[in-house]
Amino acid sequence: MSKFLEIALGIVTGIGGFLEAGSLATAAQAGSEFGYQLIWAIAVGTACIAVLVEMAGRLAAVSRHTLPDAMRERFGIGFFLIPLAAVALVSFLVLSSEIGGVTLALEFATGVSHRWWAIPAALAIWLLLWKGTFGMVEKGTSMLGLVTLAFVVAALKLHPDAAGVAAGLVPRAPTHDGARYWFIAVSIVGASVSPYLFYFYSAGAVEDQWDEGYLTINRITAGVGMTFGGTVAVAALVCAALVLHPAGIQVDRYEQIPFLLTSPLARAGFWLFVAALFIACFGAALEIALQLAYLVAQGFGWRWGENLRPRDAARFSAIYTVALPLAALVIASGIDPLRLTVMSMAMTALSLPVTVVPLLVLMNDPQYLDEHTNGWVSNAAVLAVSVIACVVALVALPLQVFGS
Amino acid sequence: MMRRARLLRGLTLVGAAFAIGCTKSPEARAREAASALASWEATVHLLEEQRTRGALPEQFVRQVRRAAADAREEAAAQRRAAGAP
Amino acid sequence: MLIGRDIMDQQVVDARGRLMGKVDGVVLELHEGEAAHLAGIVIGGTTLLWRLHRGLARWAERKLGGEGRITYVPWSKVGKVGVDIKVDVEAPRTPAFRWEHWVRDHFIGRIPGA
Repeated sequence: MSKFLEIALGIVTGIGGFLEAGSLATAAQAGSEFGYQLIWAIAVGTACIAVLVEMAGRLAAVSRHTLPDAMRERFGIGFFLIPLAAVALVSFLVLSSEIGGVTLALEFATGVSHRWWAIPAALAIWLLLWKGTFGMVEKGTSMLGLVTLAFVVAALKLHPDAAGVAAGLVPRAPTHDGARYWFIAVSIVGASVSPYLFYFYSAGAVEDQWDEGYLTINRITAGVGMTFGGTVAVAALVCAALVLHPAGIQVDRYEQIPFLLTSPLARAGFWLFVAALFIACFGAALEIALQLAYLVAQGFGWRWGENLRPRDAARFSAIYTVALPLAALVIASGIDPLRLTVMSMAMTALSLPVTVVPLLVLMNDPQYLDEHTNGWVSNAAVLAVSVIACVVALVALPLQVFGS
Repeated sequence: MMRRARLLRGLTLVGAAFAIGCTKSPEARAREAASALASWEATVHLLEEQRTRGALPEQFVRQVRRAAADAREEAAAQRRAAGAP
Repeated sequence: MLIGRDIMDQQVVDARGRLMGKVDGVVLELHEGEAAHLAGIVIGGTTLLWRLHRGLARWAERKLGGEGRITYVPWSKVGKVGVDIKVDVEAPRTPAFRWEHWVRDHFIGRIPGA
């Protein structure tokens, strides 16, 4: 595939793959409760994930190692188990949330309770991983994911005041409800900086056999793709700020979120919402399930690869085959999907230092990166965001759960 | 190993302290319930407005009404538990 | 060559390029009056457990009546190619694939379309 097509695909993946249950739910809550005030949180999260994704790609292209592979080698099994457990646990929670999103889209479309859709949805996801190739998963989800651009169309149709939106880009203290404000801010960062994104990206770079010649493509797709993707999340927030906030509606359940598109786009908006929610969450679930399998298989040196037949990578396939029904059971059990989603995002933020620091250490090791190691700016920026997000989460989470 | 065990114990103690020290006061609970009620009233209002415009399929309207009823029940129960008048 | 940096936890690849696992341990030969020398690498069994938690490893060995089925590759058959450690053995003939084959035969292989 020509380099130009690769870049185009990478950017489309960034746009189409960015919005999922977590970023949608947190953007909707932020917009409905605080108007434009939290746009900066999306910007910070987006910048952070763009940098992390670029790093993961660079690591894979130069060292020919995926992230879990390199982590086990560099840190030894003892220290590797800590990020392994953290990423696996957080990814599992997020996987359940994504399955929740898929089932809710189906409930909105058919009227049948989402709890009944959990197992069929997991089965469909599993079937695609079982029978599909890496290319199918990657390209399919990114192309179809473009339907999330409906939020951008809707936001423009609502005629947002540009000055207000721009002002929202500047971080500021809340005008009311401090604890709640910071909790949502932290959840937004957790939704944007999901570890599964950069772990999956590094496995993909190796599956696609990237080498040092891909470094520029990597930088462009990570930077441009993620930025455009973040714009979709901002669009969702703007819709919530213009539709729900003035009406005094706080997002408590997923049933309140379709209004973001039905207000500006009427009946078409409803079906676009259903399609966007379904595709975005389905695609994310595919990636997270695969990423879980990559994480464990690569950490222990087992055969792995989405392009292999399942029987040729039995332990690898077993991981997603077991994880998917378990995640589906969480949704089938009746746990509130919105609460689960927002909690998983906060837990992601809480675990950021543990999941991000190993990558940072590797990115500064010339043994893996030759002369392509990190500059001090990227190190400082990513470290700062991770630590601050973790600290804020440590304070905001208990306050949210137990109250002030 | 010892250091890890001590760290874990420290973290659990901190977590427990938070849980005990930061429980919601009855006033806070009542306030939350009131704002949830108001939010759902507004939701139903917006729902009916969009329904008359033809923006929403009937079965989705029914779903939201059900969700609103559930949410109202939850909020009412929370107010009772908080001992509000 | 540093054992910790260049050998431990590295990916092991067999003679036909199949992924065999990670180097879980090394075997050093100690003789009176001589310097220790590297006899070979070890994959699998309870080797990893010994590096993580001695108590657990001891319990596991009591249950298994030994180290479990480890794959030992003598140093003479070990080479380094690029990023991985290449060994001159056939992986399916070693215990390294025992669990892979077990999962394939009892679980994954039984599902249609595998």
